[in-house]
Amino acid sequence: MHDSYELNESVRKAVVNYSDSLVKIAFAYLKNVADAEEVAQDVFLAYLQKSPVFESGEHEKAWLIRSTINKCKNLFKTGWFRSRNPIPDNLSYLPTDEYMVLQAVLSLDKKYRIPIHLHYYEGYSLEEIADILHTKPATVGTWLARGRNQLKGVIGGDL
Amino acid sequence: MKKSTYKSAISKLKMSEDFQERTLERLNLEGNKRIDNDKRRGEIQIKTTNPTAKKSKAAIWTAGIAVCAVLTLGIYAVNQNSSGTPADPGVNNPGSGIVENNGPGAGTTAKRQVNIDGVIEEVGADGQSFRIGELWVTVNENTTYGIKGPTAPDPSEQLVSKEFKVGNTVSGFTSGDITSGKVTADVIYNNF
Repeated sequence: MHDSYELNESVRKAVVNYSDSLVKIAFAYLKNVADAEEVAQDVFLAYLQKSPVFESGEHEKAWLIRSTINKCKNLFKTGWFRSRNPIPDNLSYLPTDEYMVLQAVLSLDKKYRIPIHLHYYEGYSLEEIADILHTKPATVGTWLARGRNQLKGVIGGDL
Repeated sequence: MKKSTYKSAISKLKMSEDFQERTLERLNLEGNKRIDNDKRRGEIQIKTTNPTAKKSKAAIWTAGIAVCAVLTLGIYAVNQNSSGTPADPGVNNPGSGIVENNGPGAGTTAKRQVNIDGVIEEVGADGQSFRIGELWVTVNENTTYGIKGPTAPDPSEQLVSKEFKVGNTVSGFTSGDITSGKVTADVIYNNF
């Protein structure tokens, strides 16, 4: 158990170090930056409230990513989230090729989007993704392969 | 399409510029709320920086526990004496009413059980019985007079007479049933 100063310092460091990652993972899931930021804040809040103890920085990051994905799933289940029709984020500031790739990835099923994001953006291996998503590495491999195949159909070539 | 395209695209994704500041602010607010709640529920340990306060607290606790222990022992001892009733002449020696002196410990036997107490309102013709309220008390050859024991005053100094007169104050003990209205006294402690 942390004392309050130690905990606040840990959470503050986590906000500085992992905000970017968490918002982007949540964005990959929710396709909306505002919602993604809200989820990321909730994750840090949960960190503050639950004060979990981690073995390492990697363990801490994995916990935060797992919490982000769970919170995104929970948000998806809520009635108000499903019933609304938000204005899509304007991503036109991205270069065309990047915009197309991002749109293509966002058009994939969530099941494939998250492993692709964790693998291609965060650089996690299959085993690490399997650990975060609480599944088997082979399953993650299948999801990645299927996601890539679908992307090939949309944008052609490798991701 | 190069492998890094997705990474590059997602890296350029615009987040709120003040996201970290807002998040830290919210966390601070939440942290303060938690502290307030904890205070309200009394969950925060009050840390005293004054060591003498700690010492005096410990002393008060120690003294309190000692007092409790003494009281407990005292009550226990009193109860032991009461239940042992070496001073109860009517029960232990109903015939004689004599309290046995069992050594120095008998000093505590100054306590006598009294169930005859009051002012004589009527005396029987034989002078061996009298009435206190509704209770007729008879004395006989087995009735003893006065208080005995190591701390008892000399018999000549005790206010006990064998002659019963109306208006005398009498106290004594009987092993008989005083609710029956007529008893025989085992001991007469006072009659004056």
